[in-house]
Amino acid sequence: MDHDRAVAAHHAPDSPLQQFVSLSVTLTGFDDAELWGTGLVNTYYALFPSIVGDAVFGDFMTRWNYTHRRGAGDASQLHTLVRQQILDDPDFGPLARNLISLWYTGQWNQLPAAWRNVHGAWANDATFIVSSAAYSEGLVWKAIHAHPIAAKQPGYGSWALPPDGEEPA
Amino acid sequence: MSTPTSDIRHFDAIVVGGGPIGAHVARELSNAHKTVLLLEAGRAGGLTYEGYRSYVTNFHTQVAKDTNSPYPANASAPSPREIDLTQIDPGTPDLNGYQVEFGPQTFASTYLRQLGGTTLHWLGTTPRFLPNDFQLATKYGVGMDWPVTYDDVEPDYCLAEWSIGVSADRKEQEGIGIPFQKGYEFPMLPIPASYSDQVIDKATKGLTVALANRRYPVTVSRLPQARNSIPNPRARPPKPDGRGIDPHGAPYRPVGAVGNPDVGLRCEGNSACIPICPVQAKYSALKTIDKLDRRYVTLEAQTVVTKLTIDDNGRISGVEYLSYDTEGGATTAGRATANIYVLAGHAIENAKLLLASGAANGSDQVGRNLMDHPFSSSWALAPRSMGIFRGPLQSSGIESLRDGEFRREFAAFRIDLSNVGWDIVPDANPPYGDVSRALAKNMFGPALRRHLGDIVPRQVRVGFDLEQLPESQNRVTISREFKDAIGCYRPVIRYGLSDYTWQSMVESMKVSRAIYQRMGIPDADQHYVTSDATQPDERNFRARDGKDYLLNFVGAGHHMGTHRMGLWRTNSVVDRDQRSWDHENLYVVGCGSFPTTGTANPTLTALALALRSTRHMLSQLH
Repeated sequence: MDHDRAVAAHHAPDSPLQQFVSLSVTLTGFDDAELWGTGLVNTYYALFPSIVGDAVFGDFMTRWNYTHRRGAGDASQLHTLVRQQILDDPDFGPLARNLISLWYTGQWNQLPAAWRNVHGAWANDATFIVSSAAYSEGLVWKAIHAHPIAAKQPGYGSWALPPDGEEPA
Repeated sequence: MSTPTSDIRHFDAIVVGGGPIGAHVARELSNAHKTVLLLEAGRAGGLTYEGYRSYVTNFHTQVAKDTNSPYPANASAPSPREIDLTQIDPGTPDLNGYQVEFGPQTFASTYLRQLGGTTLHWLGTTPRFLPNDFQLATKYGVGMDWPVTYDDVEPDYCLAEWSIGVSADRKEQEGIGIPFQKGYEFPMLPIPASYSDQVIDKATKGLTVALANRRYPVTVSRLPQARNSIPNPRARPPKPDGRGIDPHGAPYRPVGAVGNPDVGLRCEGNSACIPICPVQAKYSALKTIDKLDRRYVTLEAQTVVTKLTIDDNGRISGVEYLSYDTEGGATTAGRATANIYVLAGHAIENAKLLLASGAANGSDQVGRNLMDHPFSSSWALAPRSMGIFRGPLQSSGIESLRDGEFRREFAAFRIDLSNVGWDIVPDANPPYGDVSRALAKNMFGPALRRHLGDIVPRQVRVGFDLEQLPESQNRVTISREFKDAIGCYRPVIRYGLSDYTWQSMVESMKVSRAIYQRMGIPDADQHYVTSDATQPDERNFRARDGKDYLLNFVGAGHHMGTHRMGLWRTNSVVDRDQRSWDHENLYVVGCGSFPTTGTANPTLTALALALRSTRHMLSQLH
């Protein structure tokens, strides 16, 4: 029962992990099942503090919680708030764009010099692809109705078929 | 001399270079029970299935996904990389990376020094040359003729296509002017045309373009490709000399992955022929090397040949080499001897080795006449999805402008149609570039997802492999100033285009415009590297229409011409059998032997020439 309670707490709507997932859902346009389905939620959740530290990551999540609560129940309002409070923010914008980049391409991008002038440059903050799995699960391939190059190949002759929504040529 | 042995460092033949050409020469000689030492400068990657897969996962995690990105850098046998290339400022050499470039244009083509050679990252496109490509001087008064004709090489084209496994349709190829011997069929049925190919094919039905006052059809056809498809049940193999078909032979059986033969029996649409086919449905020389008879073939990788030695009679008397245990580590010098020597180390490396040895250069043509298929692109945004990123990088092309009277005035071209959108477009880098640009605009959420799903699948890219004439100032040289980590020469390259090719680049825009108009793409959604010049610039080209153009191109990776074959020893390095005019026991084989470029991707033709040459080699060894 202790184990079940621990799992439940971990996944409770207001748990830090679930807040990270809800931020990811809002930023990527993919739902939580799609994100969990990549197998990378925990990887990316652990990656952020390992690169920019617990304090910076904590502030980022706090900003999201504040924004999320203010925009709750009104998608249009939330969209505006996310843009203003997070993406346009000099401290949190670069982190949000990196979170989108991770989900879409599996790639962490070195934070911009302007961000580093404020928060310092961290040792692990370099441009890199997290893993072969992170590359292969990049959401950009789903967004463009394709498969990641050199992975998840669609099979012989599939390329001759019309793409989704199109008529045969 | 045919007893297999590994103690004595003397062999029937030493083959320098473990790429497709060297592998085929080693196979033919060893099948005739000749002992062969096969020397490869790079590492022996991919000899096991899991080992090969390690390069695939390495590719996944490379930020820059250029042609050599799956294959870790090797300081002891460096290779050129796209990421090392820069636009050359006139008068200032580019010293980045492995190639030293003096310009005036950047020679932007790469190759790979690793076992399997550049077939590890090649596209696998295998059109034959056209008959007129072998006699450009006679037919059109430009360039030079080859010392062999299409008919001389035709039987070996058949052998090469059955050796590496080519998927194509004979009738379709006949339609673009390729003759075949009676009864011949390609071993496998053509790879299906992609949806985007089909859209362009339908849009261009009946389209013609004017080139030098004559009209030519713009016809889409499926590319011959060295990628596994469905075996043609009616096809029977060519006879061992390529002349005639063996009616009792078995139909072709596709060759799967090295070490895992049930994998890769069909192209699976990985969209990654370049830089690595994850399932090995694409031919690489590893498949030929895997089947070499090791009783006769001694394979030594991580061994860089530094010099050929020459005896008083002008015969090659040995090879000197440096071997290394770890990349970038200490080297050990060695020497081996043979009855014949075969350089199959790539056009650039062959030339370097000959120059370093003072060999085979009585004509002063070694390293000269360096050619490529300068590659110019146009790109556009189609009104609807083209369904890109779902198949092999290319499946069709436009082959109908590869020959014509216009070749008296400007270069012919082979047009390739991209299945992955704006792949070669400067700074486009789809789909990563599209993500970065969207993020820079602060897009996020469902709007970001919809935006990418809308713009990326509509990308169209049309590319032109342009012919280039042999010009002696385009050359590879060596210099004591420029050496690599183990003290071997780096290639020093001087390279530029002449008006024959520049004019063709301007003509190619007409073809792109005609295609895009038929597809209903507005002018605003069409883009050209080649543009009307709005600023005075010393790089501008004044075309025949009197306008100035600022032109740009990249390399096709088709290095040719550095040890060309010919009828006379005064103007060529090797004869029609690819034997050195100066050293009777030396053969220099590969694309470097081509006197002119034609417009076809060169590897298949190099293989056909190599197979032809192996018969001459065997006649020397008997």
